[in-house]
Amino acid sequence: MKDEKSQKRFRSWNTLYLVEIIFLVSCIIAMYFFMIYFR
Amino acid sequence: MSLLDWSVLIFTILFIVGYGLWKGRGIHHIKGFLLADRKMPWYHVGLSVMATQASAITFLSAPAQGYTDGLRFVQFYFGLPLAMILICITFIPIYQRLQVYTAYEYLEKRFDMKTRVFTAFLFLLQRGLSTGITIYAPALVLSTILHVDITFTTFFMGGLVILYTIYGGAKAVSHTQLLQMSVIFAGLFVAGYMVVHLLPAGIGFSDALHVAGKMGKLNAIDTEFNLSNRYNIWSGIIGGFFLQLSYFGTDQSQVGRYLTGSSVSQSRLGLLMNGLLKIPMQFFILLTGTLVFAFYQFYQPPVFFNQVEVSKVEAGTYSLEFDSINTAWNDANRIKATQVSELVAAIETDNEISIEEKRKSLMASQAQVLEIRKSAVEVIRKNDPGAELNDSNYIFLHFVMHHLPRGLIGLLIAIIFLAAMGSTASGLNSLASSCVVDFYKRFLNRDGTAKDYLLASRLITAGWGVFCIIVALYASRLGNLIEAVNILGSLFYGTILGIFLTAFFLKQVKGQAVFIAALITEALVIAAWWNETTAFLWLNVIGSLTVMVVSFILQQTFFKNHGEPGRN
Repeated sequence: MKDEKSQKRFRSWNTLYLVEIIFLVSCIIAMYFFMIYFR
Repeated sequence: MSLLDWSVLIFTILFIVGYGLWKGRGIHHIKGFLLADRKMPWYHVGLSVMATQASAITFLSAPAQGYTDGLRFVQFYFGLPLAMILICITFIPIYQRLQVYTAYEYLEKRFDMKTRVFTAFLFLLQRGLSTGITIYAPALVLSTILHVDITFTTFFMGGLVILYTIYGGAKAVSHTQLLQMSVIFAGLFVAGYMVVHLLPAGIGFSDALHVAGKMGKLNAIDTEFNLSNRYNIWSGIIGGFFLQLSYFGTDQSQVGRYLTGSSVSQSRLGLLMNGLLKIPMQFFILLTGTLVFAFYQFYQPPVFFNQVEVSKVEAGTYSLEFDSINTAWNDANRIKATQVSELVAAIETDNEISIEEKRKSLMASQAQVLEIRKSAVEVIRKNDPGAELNDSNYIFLHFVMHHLPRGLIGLLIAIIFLAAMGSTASGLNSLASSCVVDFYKRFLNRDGTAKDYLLASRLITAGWGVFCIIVALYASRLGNLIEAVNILGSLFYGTILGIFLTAFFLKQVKGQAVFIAALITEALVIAAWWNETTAFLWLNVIGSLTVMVVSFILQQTFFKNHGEPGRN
């Protein structure tokens, strides 16, 4: 039971970290196209 | 400034200080004073971490950087979200599990006392001096803009921060930072909106961006790998990652913020919030600077933004020479304004050949304008060799003071004060934490009562506050030492991070090996900096990796049979 709970918690933290990385990559891509569009 | 602006400025600052004092009441022990009883929710942690990093100079120099250098500085923060993730996975659970007050306390548990003392000493030296500079830099700019003596602005900012930091400790610091960041966000948003709103009739947000873009100011991403180029995507992601990791993971002024979190989850969420908000925030501040640049393509900018230095030349022996430069400057800018309007018209017709033609002639005029400015700076230097020749910190404030409506000027000046106060408060609280926990409690009074430690914390906070004010008051006489203080920080960060990474990831390495490796690395980093081998962001990478490699080799060779394996 405890194991299942900690597994679940582990997975949800990993999802949050993934969201953070996806957000970073999206920011970089958005800035790149922003730069290209107005250049 | 008008009476309305002064009222907004004073009311905003006093309200926030009063709120901090009220929220910081009822502290009876050092856990409350240094770590706000470890009861803060994630959004407090997140905003507190952001307020600590964002000093007043961030809000003065970042728009200026956007104005002069474009958006490329934003790449400096690309490593930050990655650093936040590693800190969440590795640093926070260990700090919270061991219930440490300072990051350096952990080093004694993992290595030995001398590694803890060495690292804490480096922190106190660097943070003590840099907190003084944190007060000095905005005090100088604000005294120039508001025409009040620098001693007044220094004492005003420093005094208020000392007051609520001594009274309410980390609790007051965290609560004031929440309000400070809210006001800062609101003020910046309004400032950004106003720049666009004040553009000439018929020129919109998109036109301003096209002008800035065509003049090379929207250079947000540089993909070329070049070790001597300070800001590109690689130095930002790799070098920035190591720099932010050392700052957020090992600098007590930041560690102390997320140790106030009520649990591992709350501390983690606070740091992840910082990772999400920091890049858009920094992008927005830089973009505001580039929009101010676009604004001054249509309206006449001054030849030099620090008006105090301009007044000195105008009253001196070089006034005639300066006048003729000023006339040439105004004429050149008038021509440039016409060219910018022609460029906007060409962009609207979408004629590529015409756009390129107009852009080229505009860039030629821009180069001419920059030459005129150079000669103006030279006259200012001739008139007073001790004059402040870098006017970048005055660009944004000049725009605020001369173009924004009443009331808003007071609010934006308040932002500068609040940002300075937020980072200074964290600085003082962390200096007190390290002094009390790593030295006083460890060596001088091991069995003191809660009352003893609380009193010592308050007295030490006051002592550091006075020290920082003295540094701020004498900073103008320190000259290049200010730059030296900033360099000092970046020279030590890599080594300190290396010690911590060794502690976390190289379990077999022990105190003696890591201590010697840190000394060797520090010598190498200083040599690399001295010989200008690489851009400074890479020094953090070199420093931390060298400590890890050297300590591992030392442990496997010279210290192979020494003592127990490392704990953590």
